[in-house]
Amino acid sequence: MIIDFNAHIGTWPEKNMRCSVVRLKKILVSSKIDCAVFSDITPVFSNKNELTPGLKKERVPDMFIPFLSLGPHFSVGQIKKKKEKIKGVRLYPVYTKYPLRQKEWYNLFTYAEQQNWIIQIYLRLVDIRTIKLTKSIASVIGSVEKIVEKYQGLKFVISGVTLEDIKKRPELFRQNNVWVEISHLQHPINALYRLLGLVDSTKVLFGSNAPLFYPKSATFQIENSEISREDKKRILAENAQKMLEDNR
Amino acid sequence: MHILDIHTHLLDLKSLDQELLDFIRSWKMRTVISCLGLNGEMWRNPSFGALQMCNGKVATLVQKHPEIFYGFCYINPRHGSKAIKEIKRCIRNYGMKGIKLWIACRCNKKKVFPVIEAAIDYNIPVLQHAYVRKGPNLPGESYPEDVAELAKKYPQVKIIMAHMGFNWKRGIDAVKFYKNISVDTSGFDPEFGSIEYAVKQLGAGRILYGSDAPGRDILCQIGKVNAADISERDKAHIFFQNARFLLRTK
Repeated sequence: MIIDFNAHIGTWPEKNMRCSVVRLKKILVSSKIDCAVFSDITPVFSNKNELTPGLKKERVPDMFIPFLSLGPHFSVGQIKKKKEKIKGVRLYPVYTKYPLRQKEWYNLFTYAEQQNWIIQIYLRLVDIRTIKLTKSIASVIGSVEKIVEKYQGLKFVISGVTLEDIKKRPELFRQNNVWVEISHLQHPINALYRLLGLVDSTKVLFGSNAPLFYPKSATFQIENSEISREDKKRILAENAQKMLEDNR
Repeated sequence: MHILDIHTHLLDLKSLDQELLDFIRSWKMRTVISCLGLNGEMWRNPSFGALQMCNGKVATLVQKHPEIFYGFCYINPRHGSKAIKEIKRCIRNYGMKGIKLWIACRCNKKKVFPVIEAAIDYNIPVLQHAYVRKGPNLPGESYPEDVAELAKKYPQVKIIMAHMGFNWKRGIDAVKFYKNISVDTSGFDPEFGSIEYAVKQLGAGRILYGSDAPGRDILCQIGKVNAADISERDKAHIFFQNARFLLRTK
């Protein structure tokens, strides 16, 4: 079984990305992915203040677990009105100007704790040399460290992580409430093997970054890495399964 | 899966170099290798002596493992006639199979022309780095359009544009009309649709698998081509046959 913790629908004009639920399902199913955490990325890169514009008319297939992608204009009040069942929220502080210290943010995390949501924070969606960032990754990691420490009751998934990020701030990635999603584990040789020397395999989640990346490339990396069968099973599904079940 | 990787590096770091060798052996691959600096460094504009040391390391490695490695000599066009002598030394003394150009100067500059003429004379390919960054490129870093300009001036030279130009759509579009340019798949993330676009625009015969290892994870780079929605025949050409033909090897 494979659970993908990093899939998207929606529109990102700068990257010519336009993906519906139907298209995403096709891509993931053809890559033998059974289940995916997904969200509509559109609010992050548009001025629209809608939380799930791509889901207005589309039905969400059973294989998908919806999260909310938060653009710069969200409010906690808006989120509280959402009737759809979501399991978490996604934040993109390197791509959009979130003032992380504002009261609204603390209201969000408090509400998320009450709702038992997972907080997924993106350090990267694509190679940082291809797109302008609104904030450096280093400064975002600094902010994330503080939030993770303050909200020990929340589970955090850090997406778009590289080995270098982890080596620079190992304490963050050793926190009990932090998991690493590995779609950007592209450097260097034997990257996944190296990662497991830094992070316990129970804290690693498979993510494809579909439809920006080939999901089959991500599964290929795991399946062919020189790590134990047990670790592969944990990464591909068990860790995500446990996390999602614990957060029911 | 037969694989001939057109783009790897000797970093002169014992552990990483050994990892690369072990990986290539375990996958029964072959690879083209060049060295851009010693002790893990990458020298943008190396002195002639420094560059000779780099090529010497590659020559030693190829000599030790001829069944695995093909050497490409790292050349700095700023060295003028010395650069041509170095090409001759590497081809004749060490059996190197091609030239690696990085970012000493942009490839459409006059300094590069004698190097290209030597490549034509020796009938060897040139692996030319090309990138498109969001901000300005590094000093001396070629754009895909520079590669196209060079190929137009020298239609007889065989150029491999590395990384598909990094911005692969722009890179492929820039070079598609120049049949003497192939592209390699190395060193960019497994972006959805990249390989299909290359096949559609260039034909599978002009695409060469490369990894940019050991800096890049080889599994991700193999996975990128493997994941593409193209025929198994096209994959075989990309992974092996095209490079085998280009290098005139078994």
